[in-house]
Amino acid sequence: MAQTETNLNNSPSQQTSKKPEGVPFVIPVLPLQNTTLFPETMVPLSVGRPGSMAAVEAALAGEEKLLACISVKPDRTSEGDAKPEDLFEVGTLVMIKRMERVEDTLHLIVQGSDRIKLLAWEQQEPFLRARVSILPDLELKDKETVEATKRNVQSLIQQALAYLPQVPPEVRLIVLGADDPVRLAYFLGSILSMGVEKEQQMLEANTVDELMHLAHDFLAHEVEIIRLRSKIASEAQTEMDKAQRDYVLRQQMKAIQKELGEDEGGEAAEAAQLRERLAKADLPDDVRKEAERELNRMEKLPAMAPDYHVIRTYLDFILELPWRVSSEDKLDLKEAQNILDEDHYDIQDVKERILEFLAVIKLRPDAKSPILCFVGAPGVGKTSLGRSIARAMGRKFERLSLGGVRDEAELRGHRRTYVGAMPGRIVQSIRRAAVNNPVMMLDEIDKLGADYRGDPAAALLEILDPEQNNTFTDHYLDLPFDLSRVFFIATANQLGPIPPPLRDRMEVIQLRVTAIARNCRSLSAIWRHGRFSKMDCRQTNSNSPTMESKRSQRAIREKPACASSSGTSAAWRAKSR
Amino acid sequence: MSGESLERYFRMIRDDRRTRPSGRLWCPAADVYRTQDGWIVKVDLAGIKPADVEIKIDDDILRISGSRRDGICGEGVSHYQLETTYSRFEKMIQFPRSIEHASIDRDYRDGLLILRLREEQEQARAAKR
Repeated sequence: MAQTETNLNNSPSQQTSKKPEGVPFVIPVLPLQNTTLFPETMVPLSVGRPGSMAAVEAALAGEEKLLACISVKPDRTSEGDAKPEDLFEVGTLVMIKRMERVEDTLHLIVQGSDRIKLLAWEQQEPFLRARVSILPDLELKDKETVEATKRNVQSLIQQALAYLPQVPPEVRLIVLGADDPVRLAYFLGSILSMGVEKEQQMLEANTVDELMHLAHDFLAHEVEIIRLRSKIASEAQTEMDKAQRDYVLRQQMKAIQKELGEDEGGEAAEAAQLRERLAKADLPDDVRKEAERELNRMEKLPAMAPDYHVIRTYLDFILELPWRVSSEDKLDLKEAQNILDEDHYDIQDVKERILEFLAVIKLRPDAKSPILCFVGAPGVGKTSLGRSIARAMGRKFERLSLGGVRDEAELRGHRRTYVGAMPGRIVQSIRRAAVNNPVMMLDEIDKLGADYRGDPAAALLEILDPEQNNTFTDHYLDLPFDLSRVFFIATANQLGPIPPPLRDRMEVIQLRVTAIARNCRSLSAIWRHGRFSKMDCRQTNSNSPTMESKRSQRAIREKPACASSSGTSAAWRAKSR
Repeated sequence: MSGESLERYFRMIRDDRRTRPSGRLWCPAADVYRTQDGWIVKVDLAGIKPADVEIKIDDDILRISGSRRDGICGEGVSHYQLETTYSRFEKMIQFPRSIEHASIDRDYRDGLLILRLREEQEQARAAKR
């Protein structure tokens, strides 16, 4: 290496060539694939193609062992011998320094000497031979610029070397200590993997200025790539370290759990448990398919993954829903009437209507559940009537208040992709009821709100339509749930705010002020149960009150004062009017 | 994959090319002896016709250049192995002082080019002083 180092710094001032610049001569041509050979560099080559081998043999037969190396254009590379038109027009004159035959290939060490220009092709078979002339030495135009570029190049090399600790020190010395910018550029061109296109551009540069400019640009590009590669490599390393650490910690945790006797197999056990529950659960086929799919997905996830818990909760919810569980209706009309009478005094017309419904259900159990809507002033017993119906039918009762609900998602649920997604209130009520045929009371349906997030009334249209609600799809659940067996009862104070399409779906029952008891004993019974109207007769939209009801109204007003010393809200309200 | 092997994968220098800077010409080995009246330069130039050697002096630099040609080549002969460097060579030797006025004797013996440089008496004396 010592010799080469001195060579870089001692430039011969004069050529001793017997083939001076500009004088054409004929020489065998070795096409180079995917590489470019620069003057003043020593390069090992392996030659195996028949045409190339013949060219090398011809060069070896010459007195001076000279050969022209010309690169093949990058888009013309092929498996076979290169054609003249595939080659660039500028190449390098090389001298074969060493040759060795290994099996069917020739191993050469060649030394680049001068740039040559291709003038004409003399021969194509069996090997390429061309008339070439030596190109003059590079012209130096602006010494200062070249020097400045050279220093920039050297500083770029230093940057690159900082990322490349494996580069041998002698290479560092060569590139950083080089005096001759041309040699430095050619050396860089031959050691960087820039691709034939760029390398050829450097080889064809006719002035030192141009050559240095190119070398600087290409090197800057390479340094950027090296920097990025190094960054990627170190990031990959950090990531691997983290994964490794997590793994070790998790293994330790498992070991600790095992020691503590807490090891039930962790997530595997959890998945197995869910699978067992899934096998036992009575689910419709499509639900089971979906649940199994999710469970398979969950098994592939580590317990730390956020999705793991989302899927777990979802599966839990699916398994808890009463897909096929329903309560037995007890449809004894007499008994029902007794219960209704027990709970509510008077309102004969309403009770009758309810009994009619029950009778229909008894006759046709598969008939669609009715949807009732009780309209009346506050306190007329709308909600309690619903509870009585549930009791009379022997069904579970679920009540959900819609007053002030503005978001459709509140009823229909959020899609599972959202963080903290929850099922809608309808499906949640069903889960609470644990049967799929509860009496569901939708309280204050006239007080639904609506805003930019959607209109809950629109969702109710689907829920309350017997034609559609057998495939009600909650966003969270993402599976159809049959609501057709649910007995919906809505309540409202006024019919006005309820959208007409919604109103049409329901059977509206007006509740007027209860025809009040005629004697005090029954009145106190009503009082004790809180089942009486706090409303003035004038406010009901019923027919004009009879004298009898007016009288009884007065009786109620007076009642708190005489029968009970403690004031009640009813009395207070009645008085305040 | 460790960081080290990643780095090896991403290395800049093409290992397969093992390119080295070389200069354009090859450089024969030379010994330089000091004598009482000058220098003896011995250059390893086997297989070179004396006529193909050119010697030049430029102030304190002795420049020996020429070309080695292979005489044994032609029909029916082909290389099986090549280790000798042919073609153009150049050797520059720098002396501590100018040798421009020295006389040169050329001798070509046993494949070695021997140059005897004699500095002129006066100059030698001046140098001694």
